[in-house]
Amino acid sequence: MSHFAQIHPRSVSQPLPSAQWSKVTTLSGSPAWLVDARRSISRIAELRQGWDGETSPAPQRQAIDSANRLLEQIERYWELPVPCVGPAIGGGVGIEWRFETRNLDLEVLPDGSVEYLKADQGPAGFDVNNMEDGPVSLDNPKEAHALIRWLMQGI
Amino acid sequence: MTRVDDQDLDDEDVLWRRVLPTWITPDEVTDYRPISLAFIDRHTSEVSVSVASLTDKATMLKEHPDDSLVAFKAGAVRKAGGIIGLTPENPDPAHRVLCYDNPSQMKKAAKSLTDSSVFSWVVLKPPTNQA
Repeated sequence: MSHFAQIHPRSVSQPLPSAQWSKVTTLSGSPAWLVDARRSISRIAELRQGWDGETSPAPQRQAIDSANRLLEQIERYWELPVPCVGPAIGGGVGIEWRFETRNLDLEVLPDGSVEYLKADQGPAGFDVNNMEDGPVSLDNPKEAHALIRWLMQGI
Repeated sequence: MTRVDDQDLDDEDVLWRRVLPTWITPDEVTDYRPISLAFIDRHTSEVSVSVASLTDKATMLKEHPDDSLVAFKAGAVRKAGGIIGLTPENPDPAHRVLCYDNPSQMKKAAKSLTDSSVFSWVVLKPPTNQA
């Protein structure tokens, strides 16, 4: 069996073992999107080096911790759609939303720092010249809140 | 490593990228689409692709039977500021790498490749947990 087969990332999207499911159910009262996102991050944390079928490092602990911290900062936004949460080549974690024409990518880098990308999808698709990116400080939750407001309200 | 854009590739030439199940999400237009992470590599800063005319699906997925294949034109990468770098050190003649000046450009280009007008599925194996 290849190394890749042993650690295939499809496992990220498979049901959790009962022990971990018990952990998720303690989140009852949380937004559906948050339960889903935390479940995905738990799965990502289990990936090992080479999870991409190539040479990517395993998701780094700092990245997992920052991703969970980031989710905590925005957990009050019940109306958020379920994000797509995935592992990033290099050892980070990505959290992506698309709402109406607005796309918000939050990428947690292997060192635990966070970057955002805002992209509005026009009739002709994306224009890289109209995208905005930059760092997100986890020490200032207002930054994450502002990004969520942009996603949901466009302001 | 300094990469050189493959000038033998026209903008209309098609590139393939292998996409893991965890990088696929539902989409209103195309049913499923790749997410940006499918086109970002923070480990090498180079995104591996293959020239479609120099390979085939079976070869691309031989070691990765659960993965999907997405296609896009070389011109889409160049329009987003990237190059399709030659990889003379790689024995696979179809292999190329998408290279950008900086991570910001890579992220923006990656997002642009997720647009339904830019990509198409060659092989799609939807993730099993999607509603």
